[in-house]
Amino acid sequence: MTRIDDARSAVPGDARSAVSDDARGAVPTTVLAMKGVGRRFPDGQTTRSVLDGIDLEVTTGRLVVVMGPSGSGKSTLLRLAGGLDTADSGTIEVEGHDLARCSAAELAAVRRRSAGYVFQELNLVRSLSLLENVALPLELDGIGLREACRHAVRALGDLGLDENIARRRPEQVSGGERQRAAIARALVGDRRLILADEPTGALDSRTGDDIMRRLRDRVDAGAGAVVVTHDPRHAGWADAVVYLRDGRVVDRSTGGSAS
Amino acid sequence: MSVRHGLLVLLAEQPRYGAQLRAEFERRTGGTWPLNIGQVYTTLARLHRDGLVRPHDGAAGDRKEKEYAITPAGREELRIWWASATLAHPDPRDELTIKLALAVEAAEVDVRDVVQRHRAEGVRRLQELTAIKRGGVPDLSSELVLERRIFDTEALIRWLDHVEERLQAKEDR
Repeated sequence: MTRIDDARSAVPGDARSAVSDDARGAVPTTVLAMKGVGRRFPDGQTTRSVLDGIDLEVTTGRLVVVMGPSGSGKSTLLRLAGGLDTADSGTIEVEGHDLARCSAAELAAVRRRSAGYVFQELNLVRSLSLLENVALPLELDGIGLREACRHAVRALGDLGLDENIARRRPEQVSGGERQRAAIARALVGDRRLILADEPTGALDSRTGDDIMRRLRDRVDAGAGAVVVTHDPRHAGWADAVVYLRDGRVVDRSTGGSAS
Repeated sequence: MSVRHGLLVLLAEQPRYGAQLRAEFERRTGGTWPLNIGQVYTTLARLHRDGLVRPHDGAAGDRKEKEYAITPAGREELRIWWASATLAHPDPRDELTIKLALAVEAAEVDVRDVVQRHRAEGVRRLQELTAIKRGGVPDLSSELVLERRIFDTEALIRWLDHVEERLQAKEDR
């Protein structure tokens, strides 16, 4: 079985992490636990293994980056973690909810309340303001408009987007602001797991760094994150980096010194 | 680059003492190039010999240390330096490059493992550099010097990704 170590235990001496734990004053809790996860896709008369024996545990305060060549299974791993696809083997738990045992309605609830997903193409609703986009998942969860907006303003503010920008529609803001809004939508409310697929897209390196810095800050404030990327620059912000090849983990890097 | 040009840059701004040059050079290069004071004085002596700097008389006369100022010839030297492109050529005999080139046909190693080992080390360095950046750097000069190291490391990892893709393509053929 392929193993990805617990992102927390993988970096025992990481000063940055220790500081963030102290700052939060909270014991890290597991937000994602994947055990022995496999996924096969049809391939002609047979099936092809896309992921095999993946173990991954992510706790609050930890940012895990997943890297690997095209077709290595990175996006499949993320989709499984987000309940957007179903594993053929193994178990996936998001904040203690076993996704395989969830009904469709329960799965939708997990996605709304626990796991926020940042899509590569962002998927912001063009006709809505950033604020409405971010409030939307809460409204869908039955939270009143006023309360949903209050949470959305805070989530956007955490990512450096003030109310003036929040009132604009996606095409009226910069690419970096759209990306930040997509992350805010993924984290609004009490969701503590963020799953991001190439979250800085084609942004320039400075804006990309700003996105990663804010994502890192949000993680340090009490979320856990899995970021799938082909961009080595993002790995610099991670506590642990896992490398996939042909659906298996071939290696991992743990955190560097913060000195 | 030589320390010569670094000192000329600082002397073009104002006359300075050796100790001031040393401190300012270190600050302006993001602490990546610490000089010892002997190096500074040796360089100043050579610049003086070449007519690019001269002792400056304007300072307090009782100070033992000499203050130096740039000469017109020094300004011309500096103008040429600013105007010239100073891109270093990548070293074709770089050890990693040669190691991977040899690994492609070496029977006793899996070249993809060699790639991965170096990529993981590159990522570890990126994590260190990013942690320093995240901790805050005092000024733009220091930040640019640090970011150059980040970009270099990133380029190395991208090259390793490329090597892996080429190996995969060869295997698939």
